[in-house]
Amino acid sequence: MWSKLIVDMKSLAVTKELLDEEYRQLGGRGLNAQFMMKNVPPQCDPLGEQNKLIFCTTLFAGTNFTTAHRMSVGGKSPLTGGIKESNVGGYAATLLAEQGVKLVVVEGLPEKDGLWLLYIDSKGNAALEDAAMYEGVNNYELVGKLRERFGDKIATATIGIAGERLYKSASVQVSEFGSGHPSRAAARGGLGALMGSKRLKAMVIEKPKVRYNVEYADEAKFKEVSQKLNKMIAQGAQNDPFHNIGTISTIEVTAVNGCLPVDNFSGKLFPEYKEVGANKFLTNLATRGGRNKLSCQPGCVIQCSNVYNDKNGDYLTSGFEYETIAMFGPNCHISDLDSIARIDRICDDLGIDTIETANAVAMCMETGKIQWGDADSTLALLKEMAEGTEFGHLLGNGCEAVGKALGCKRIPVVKHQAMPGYDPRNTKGTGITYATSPMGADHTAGLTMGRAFDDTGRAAQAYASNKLQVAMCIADSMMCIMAFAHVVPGIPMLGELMAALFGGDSSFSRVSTMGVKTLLTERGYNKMAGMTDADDKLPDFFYNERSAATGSKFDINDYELEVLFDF
Amino acid sequence: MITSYGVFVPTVMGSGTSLRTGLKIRELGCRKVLVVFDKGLKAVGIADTIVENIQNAGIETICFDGVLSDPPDTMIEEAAEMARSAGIDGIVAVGGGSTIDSAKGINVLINNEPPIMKYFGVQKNLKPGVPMVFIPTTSGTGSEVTNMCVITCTSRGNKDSVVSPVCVGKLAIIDPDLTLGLPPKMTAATGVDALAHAVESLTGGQSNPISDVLAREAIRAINKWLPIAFRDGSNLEAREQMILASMFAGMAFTNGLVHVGHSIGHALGAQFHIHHGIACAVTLPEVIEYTAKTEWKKVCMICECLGVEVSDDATPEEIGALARAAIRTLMKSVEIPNMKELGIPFDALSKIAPLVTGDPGFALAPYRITTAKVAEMLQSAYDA
Repeated sequence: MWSKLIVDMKSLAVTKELLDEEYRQLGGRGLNAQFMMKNVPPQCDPLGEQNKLIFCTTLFAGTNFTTAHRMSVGGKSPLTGGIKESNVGGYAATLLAEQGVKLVVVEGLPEKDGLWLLYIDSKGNAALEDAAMYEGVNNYELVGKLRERFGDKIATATIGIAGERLYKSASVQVSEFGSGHPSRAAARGGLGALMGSKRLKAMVIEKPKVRYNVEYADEAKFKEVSQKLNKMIAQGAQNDPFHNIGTISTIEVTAVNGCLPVDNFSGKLFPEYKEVGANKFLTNLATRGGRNKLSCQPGCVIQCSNVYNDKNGDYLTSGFEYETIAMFGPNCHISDLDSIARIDRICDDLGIDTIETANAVAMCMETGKIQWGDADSTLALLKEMAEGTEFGHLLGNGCEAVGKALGCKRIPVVKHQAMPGYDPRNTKGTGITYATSPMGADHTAGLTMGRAFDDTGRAAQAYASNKLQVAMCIADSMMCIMAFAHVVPGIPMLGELMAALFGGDSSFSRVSTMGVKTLLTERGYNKMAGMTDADDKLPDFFYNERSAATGSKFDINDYELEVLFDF
Repeated sequence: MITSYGVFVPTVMGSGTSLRTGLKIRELGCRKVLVVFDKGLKAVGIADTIVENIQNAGIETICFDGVLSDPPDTMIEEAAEMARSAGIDGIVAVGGGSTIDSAKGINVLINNEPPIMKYFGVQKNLKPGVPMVFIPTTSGTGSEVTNMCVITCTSRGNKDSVVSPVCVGKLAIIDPDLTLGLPPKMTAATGVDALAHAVESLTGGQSNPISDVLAREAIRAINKWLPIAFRDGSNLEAREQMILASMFAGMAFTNGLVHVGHSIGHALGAQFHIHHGIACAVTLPEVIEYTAKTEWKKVCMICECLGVEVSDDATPEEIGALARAAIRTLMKSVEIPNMKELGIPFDALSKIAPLVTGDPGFALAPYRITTAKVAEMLQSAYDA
């Protein structure tokens, strides 16, 4: 049976217990929703004593199901003020699973000054150790030091100075499988600040000597079905640009359909998009010794990660993704891929959400604080964040904070969280997801672009958003959404997997019910946290301004959003 | 709101047009055509007349007379196999929706591998088939001017559509003479199918100004002429107006799309084998009433086209109620039975509801409603 670790920051004790009965058939986002509902008062101060930070693995952790080793970082978000599940790849979930740990709960606040790390050793002992020597150390240096101290058979989840300083854009960075670079980000919603408020600098998980064995209701059946699904996903991956190129391949799609944000969601097209697109990326990889088709977790067949080197062939960054490129690139009118890669590296190092920070920088550009397209000034702003200047602190608190302080009229946030790389006017279903998802403006919660009906039209957009929001709750409870895309033809088999693992009903309705329940629980939590219908809207300018690329406004009927979650 | 209108089929229309079938097919360059119809149409002699007309134009004909209503995919695959081996270069369908949709399904499979269920949904990249000419004999499916065909998936037991340029005809031949012999029950059933197309496309998520104009004309014409055609099938003017209305409604819905009414129609049809038109009609009044919440302006238009006056300060709910009453009155006037009269058990309704929300077309509902609300709608219409 799976265990949970309770990390009490007040007493500095770590206890290991069996996982509560009620969580045994949950994982990932689904587990986070039920845990939060039960254990964290929705009205609590996110940086206060009552909030809890959790790390948990998926339903299929410990099995051979591809991409089962995603990790959910959860808590009440210091940024949105609502429930947050921040989903991340990397190596940590694999080792947590090998350790037999499904859930880590970090609770309470330390009574004395200090900084700690959680160390789970190869024998399965878990304890808090002093991490005061790492205060002010950023993620890349930190991970290097942790490997020196604990060896290299470890996975890490760490915060940089951003988390220590409680920046609302602070991320938790997880080490990538293989390289150990802290380049996989549990980025959205400022959970790095939650971790910082607990004075927890790092979670270090050592590969255990004795690997935990998952208990199956019917192991043979599980292996049979998971093999089929793994094969299906691997086949799907062959034609998937995410596999063959990386997520940057999305630039070529959104640059031509008007979804790529340009100049703070001005709606214009970006003629220089090829400078920041797939071809440029692949050319640079080939000529500089970079790589793509890398798995961020063992056993992943999608392999969308990468290592990107600079002009001299030296390592620059990894996990270089569409969102970072779109938001620091065209949305800031920057068209130099290398500058963006440098920015990506800095963000991973400081431990900040690139989407949130890029939008904050766009606020500076729109209000004239720095020029559009000025990469050097952008790097200077990041330096201020690193140094913790007054303005750096403001930047750290995200797009809305900066936008308001600078008097920007066009602040692209929902539930205080900044918008990702899809203009909602030209993918209206995604816009509906941004508006209504309990996560805030979040594309991974339900990206509807490219489905049967016109992305800029009205037909079926709410329907698609509803279906995908449920689907993403399911996916984020069991696997990586990139792999989930290829499972759709065999989706009833997910029910069979559940039954083979846990026993009981093998129908898909078991899975879909879990998805719906997760979504409604999150919504219920947010309501209790004080959110209302007013929080389910996009910023006014999307309703009033036309996208210059398509002439569209976000003209979805409010009533359609009101009834979106009637099940 | 930016909308679009893109599906258009060239048309010849008027009493006697079907006599030009052979000539028109020759103009299209076809030499050997598959003629698709059902046994009923053969029995009344229309099929033979058309086949002879085509042959007289020097065109070779291969006939497929095995069309079944609610065309099953297996039947279509069989016919396509025949068509492929015969090396035809054109397809002519003469009949109702089942016939025309079967022809479209066959065309999909001319150059795309079976089974046809692979192609359900919106398909942008199918290999083209051969030119198709459609001659409707009901009023009607409207399929002669649409880009979709509805097929029963026998393995899943439900209906789904293929929506594609491959399903678009090269020519529609609209001849009211062919409907003069349509019996009253069929006149009524196909007439309310056309009505459903019109009112659903007005209130659906892809409605646009052009389909709206066509839908309104269709509703006006059906309101006036369906009762006449029902009572006096030999009235040529009524038949002409009805077949045109059916075509307008088809043009409207192929661009504007249909929604809950047809989802209910598919679910009821699959479970109880009711004629498609009746299956869509039985809850149509309640469906339009539901749309009024967000589409009251369009529902107001429906009322006006049905000759019902709506006061300027009417609320959406009131407009919905007026429309419901007016549509039901029209349907009663042509003796469309309700679910009770059709022998559908009341307790089946709550089990039908999930089939409705599971229908692919449900995605186009103007605003989301729950399965429970669909059940309520069905129950409310049960013995209305």
